[in-house]
Amino acid sequence: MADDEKKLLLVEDSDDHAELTEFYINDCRPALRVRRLRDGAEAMAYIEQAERLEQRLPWLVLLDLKLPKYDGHEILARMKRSGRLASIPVVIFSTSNSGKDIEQAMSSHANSYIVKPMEADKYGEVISEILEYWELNEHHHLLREPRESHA
Amino acid sequence: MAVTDFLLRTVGLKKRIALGYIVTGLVAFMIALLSYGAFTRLAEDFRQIVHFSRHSADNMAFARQMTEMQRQALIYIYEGHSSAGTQVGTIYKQMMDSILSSQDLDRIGAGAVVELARRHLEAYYEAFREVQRQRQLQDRLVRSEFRVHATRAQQLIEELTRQEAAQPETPGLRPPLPENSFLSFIPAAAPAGQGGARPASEQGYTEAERMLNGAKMLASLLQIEKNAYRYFDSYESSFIQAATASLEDTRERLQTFDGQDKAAELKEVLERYEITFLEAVQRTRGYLYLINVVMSAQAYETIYQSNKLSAMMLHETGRIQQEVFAHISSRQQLLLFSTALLLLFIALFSYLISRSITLPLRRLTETFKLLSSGSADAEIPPYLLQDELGDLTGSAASFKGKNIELLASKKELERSNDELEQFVYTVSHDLKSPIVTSMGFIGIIRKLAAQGKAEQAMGMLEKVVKANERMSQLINDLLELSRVGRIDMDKKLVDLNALLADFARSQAERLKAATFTLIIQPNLPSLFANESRILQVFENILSNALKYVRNETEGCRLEINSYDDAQLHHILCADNGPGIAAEYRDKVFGLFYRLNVNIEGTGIGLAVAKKIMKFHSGDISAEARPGGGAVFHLTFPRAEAGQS
Repeated sequence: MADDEKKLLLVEDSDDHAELTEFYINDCRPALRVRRLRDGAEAMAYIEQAERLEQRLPWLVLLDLKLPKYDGHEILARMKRSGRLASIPVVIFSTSNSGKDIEQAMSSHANSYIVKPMEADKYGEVISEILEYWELNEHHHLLREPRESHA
Repeated sequence: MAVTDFLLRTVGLKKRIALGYIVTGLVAFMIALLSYGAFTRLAEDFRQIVHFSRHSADNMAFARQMTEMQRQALIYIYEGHSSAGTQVGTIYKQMMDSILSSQDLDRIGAGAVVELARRHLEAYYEAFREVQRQRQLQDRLVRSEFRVHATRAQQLIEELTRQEAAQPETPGLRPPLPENSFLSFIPAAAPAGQGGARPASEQGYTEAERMLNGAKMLASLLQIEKNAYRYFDSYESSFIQAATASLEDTRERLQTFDGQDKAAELKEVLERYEITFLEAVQRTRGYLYLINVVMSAQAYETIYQSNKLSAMMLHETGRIQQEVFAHISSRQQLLLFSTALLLLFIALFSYLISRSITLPLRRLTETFKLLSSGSADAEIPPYLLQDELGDLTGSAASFKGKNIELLASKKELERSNDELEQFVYTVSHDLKSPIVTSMGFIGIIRKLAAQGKAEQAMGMLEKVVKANERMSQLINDLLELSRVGRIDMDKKLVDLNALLADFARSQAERLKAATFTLIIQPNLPSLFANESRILQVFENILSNALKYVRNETEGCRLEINSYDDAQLHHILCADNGPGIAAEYRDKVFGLFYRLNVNIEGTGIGLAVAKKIMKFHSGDISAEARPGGGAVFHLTFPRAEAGQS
């Protein structure tokens, strides 16, 4: 699958953080399309739509926890309960490093939990590592399930 | 138990204890009283026995006295001791006295018997008196008349004999006289009776014959007297015959002297002598009859009645004894039974009293145990009286109150701990966010700078500045939030009309710029509150409205209105903006919570408003406005209620 066909779902309320994330994604994977959702309500609406329609599902979800209306935990739980979207890897990307948040996210089957870095230059590194990791994981996934890729 | 409950409800602790002692004392007194009664009764019975014993003794003495009296009477009669007669009188008096003094024998029905005994005794004594009289008469007859006649007879005979001797024809008569006189002392009745004096009366007696007869007459006379005295001594009736025979003999011999004056007189004297003797005999026989028949019979009757009385008294004594024994045993039983009953009562009563003390104490102990373990719902046992236990119950109640307060404050503490944790969590997240932004953009700037894109890099610098500004804004807001309830929170009565009028004036510029209408209805209440903080609440609500309300058709508007109910002042701030969906109406008051991230703000304004309202014991909530828009609903406790 080429990068230009892949889509990353970014759920982020802060415009600044969204801009940063998009900048660094564009920096290392210019072909990767990013779909941004601003709050919990938009994310819920997206999930419900994705369940109903035969649209292309995102390859990866970057999910912030502290969101207006519905928070990240609620969205994560909703996604992992959904038959069609449960298999999409969800990376929690939040400023929170509290044990409670991590625990809750893991118990809701988050695929990864990354704390937003507070050091200069680190933000880009973290983004590229996330992408690299899940690209690698995807290849394993393809090897294991070849028929899925042809479809 | 009902009695215990009654005691607990009505009698105080001290009184209960005192009551216990009093009742015990009363019961002890009752026991003593019962014992006293029983002993009194016994003593009375005993007295009655003693009384009867005395009567018995008296009665025995009576019988004895009767016998003694009879003996004395007999002594008096037969021996002639007059002292014995006096003795009889004395004894009689004593006996009558003892009869009179025992009137209470009537009670046992012995009155008739006693009366009979008395009557017989009286009859006896009457007879005795008669005897005395007769005896005195006899005595007089014997001692004086009889003697007089005898002496006269002797004189006459001697005179007769002397006459014969004085006559010449009879000179030789004298010598045999002493011989004959001497002879007359041998038992002469029979020979005298045999003496053939009869022919002498018919024929002319010789002088010698007459002399002899005279001597014999004297002898007979002596014989008569001797026999008479013998009779009076021995009461042998043969002596009477002998005396009579001698008298006859004397009379016969007297015929020898017929025709002489002295003889006729002698005859007459003899006649009287006989009469006197016979009368004396008659008297003697009379009193002998009295003493032997009448007095004996009366004595016998008296003794019989006395014995009868004895028997009755014996019977009565037996009856009393039996009664006394019955009494003793019944008293014993009664005393034993009532003492046991009273002791049982004391035991029961003591149990009740002690229970009325221990029961509430035990309940209180249970309660205190629970309370000391921190229980706030331990049941305080009901206790209505204001005594020591009542105080203790009061203490338990206040202990419970303290526990409840403690529990509440513990809950409050836990809640505020949770709040603090949440606050720290939220604050750390929201403070980190601008740092992440700054650092992220700094990274981009470095990258762009390295690529030589200085222009672009400079543009990014603005982002860093914004992020830092936001950070400082957050910190300021946080400081403001922390001041609420801590600094400058003096309350006073605030006229909301005046306050909001000032507020509208101060905001006029800002409102005009935003083409926003602020409507403040009149008749708003006055509140006991901190003026500047209340103003802050309205500022925050207005700021919120200015940010969120976009109404092209009606024009943006915020309307402040109020109404009161029994407990609260209600102030409604209604806008005509997009409104707040039901699920976010609580969340909007959370720290750093923003419904729209693209509208500037730190998400702290409503959190501050909430905190201020809580500080005023009021609240703020978000509601939907009919026809669209949001309503911020403020409640204050009414001043009267709040101050009281």
